[in-house]
Amino acid sequence: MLEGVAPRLAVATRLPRPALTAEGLRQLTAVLLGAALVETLLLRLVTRIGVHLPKEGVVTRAFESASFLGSIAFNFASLLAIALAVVVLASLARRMERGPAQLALIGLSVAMLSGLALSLTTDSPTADAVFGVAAALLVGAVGLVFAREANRTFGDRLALALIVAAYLSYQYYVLSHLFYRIFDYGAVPPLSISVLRLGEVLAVAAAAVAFWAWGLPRRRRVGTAGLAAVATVLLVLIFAGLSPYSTMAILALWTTGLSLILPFPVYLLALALYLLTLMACWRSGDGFWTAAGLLLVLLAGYMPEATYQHLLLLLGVAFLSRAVPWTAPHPAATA
Amino acid sequence: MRTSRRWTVLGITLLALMVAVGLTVSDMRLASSQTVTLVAKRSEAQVPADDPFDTVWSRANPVEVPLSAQTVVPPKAGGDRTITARALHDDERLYVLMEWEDDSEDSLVSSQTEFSDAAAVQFPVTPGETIPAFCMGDPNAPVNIWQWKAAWQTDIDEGFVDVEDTYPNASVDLYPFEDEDVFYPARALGNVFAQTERETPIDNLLAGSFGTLTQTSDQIVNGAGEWRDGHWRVLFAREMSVDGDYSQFAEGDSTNVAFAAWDGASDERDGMKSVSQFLTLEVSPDVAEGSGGVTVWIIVAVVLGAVALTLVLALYGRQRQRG
Repeated sequence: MLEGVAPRLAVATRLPRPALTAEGLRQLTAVLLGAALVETLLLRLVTRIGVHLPKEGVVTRAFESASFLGSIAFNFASLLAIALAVVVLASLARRMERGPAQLALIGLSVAMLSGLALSLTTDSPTADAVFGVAAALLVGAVGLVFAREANRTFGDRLALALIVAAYLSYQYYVLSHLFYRIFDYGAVPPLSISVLRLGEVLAVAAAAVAFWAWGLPRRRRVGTAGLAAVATVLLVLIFAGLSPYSTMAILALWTTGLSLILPFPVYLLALALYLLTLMACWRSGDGFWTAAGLLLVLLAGYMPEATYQHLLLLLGVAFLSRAVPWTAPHPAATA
Repeated sequence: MRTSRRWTVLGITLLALMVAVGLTVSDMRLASSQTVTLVAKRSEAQVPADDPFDTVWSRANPVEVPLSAQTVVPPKAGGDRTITARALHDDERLYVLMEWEDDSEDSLVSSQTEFSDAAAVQFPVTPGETIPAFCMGDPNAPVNIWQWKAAWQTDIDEGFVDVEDTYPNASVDLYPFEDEDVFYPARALGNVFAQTERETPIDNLLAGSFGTLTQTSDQIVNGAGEWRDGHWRVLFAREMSVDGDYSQFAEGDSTNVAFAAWDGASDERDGMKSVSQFLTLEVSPDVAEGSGGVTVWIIVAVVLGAVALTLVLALYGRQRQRG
């Protein structure tokens, strides 16, 4: 059931075990990645950056088809993300000893899922606040505390800390405005934009540190095909950046939530390093969960606009931390 | 056994896919928006449509909105413009106020190297599950845009600024048809850019995709802009319910809103502008009072306390696990 799991993390058996095997969860995660990628490409990207195309006849029908398929992928990915988030949080709770810490984790998980259910069915800002605060605390706990327990290296923890800090910066911006709204406070929350901008810088820095932590040790695994894929993405972006009819802003705003406060080459460099890391992990046998985590964080974007994107980020951080028992590296595995 | 596990994964995947198709066909999305919400509360005090600095705005809940850098010509990045948005309504009219920092007041366009500061708000014509592309909407999800220009504001406040006002000492040859329409074909045809007598500094526009932005025949948006101490404040005002295929607003409803700003001093015009993503706009029945204060800080303290407690408990659990 828990083959491939570090012995230290597999001792807790007090709560009921999930019915799925580690391999089954891996397969479901792969399906989620596929659905989230299709949703991002068809719903958030293609239908948005296609603003320069004449929308008549066949083109209109193609756009509508892409939008419909993207919507199916969105709902499909959202369902899988909710299910996997429940399994991940249950797994984390199971591995903890009974006590206040386990209760806190269970309480936060219940709060986040309740907030999600209420947020989906009502327009209550309180539900959004409960979901947002619980999600922020869970991402913080998984990325900062559980990663320490899972014996991650300094580089791993630094990259995770930057990802978590960027997310918390965005959450501060959104939640501070939300609380001011709930309590009818007629002022702008302190430093909200400064913290939001800082978060964007941290997100860009996280890409470089992720390369150092996960990509550099596996750099030989990138291969010619991987390099060609990354180079193609970068060339498209450079061309878009130089073109007078650029779709760069739309690309950035709708898919990753970046507002381009830094010089454009900085974003290009960060994306190149991030994609190389993703490719290296994907193509190395022991890096599936790191690659999955990196891809989920990328698809969640810096400014998650929907509950679904927050769940992607939570899953991404959980997989990167390798704190979930069925994602833990095998003792024999090497970086 | 392995075959059984494979069927479990396949079964879960197919079930989820069927539910997803059902939700999509029902025009439902299994996610809710977590963006910042701009709330337009009901103002019991009168909201003057010609004074963006009126004290009534201290009762509105402000929202800070990050704008992108201008992304049409190089360097296309490196901008950090932010606007503060507020909104109110009085049961009949919706008021949206934009405020942003701008070191210079650029409100003349009478020479070829001058460009006007400007601002715009954009709403979906039909609010719903399909949020239009923020770049001029989609054919099946058009947008209603209200655009204000500082130059038009000057035309209203001080009268039309012509070339003679900019170059008072210029020598002018005889123009035999100077006062006839044939001499100004664009003005005669009603081109918005050629008007010398404007009733409002705000243009009411519709768009259904890139390249389809069109001025409407109903110029129904009023308001005013004023530059003061390095800040622009621009107020947009319109009846909540109007005839025509424009965005409609009603108390208790929600829609989306996006913002754009142009800096004339940076030669920004047309598509060269900073834009925001769509936010949620809620037209609330609550009365704008601008209260709060102490309460919010109690909540902040509670949230920070919860964060600290969670971390302490998690660390405590880790210590016990090690022990």
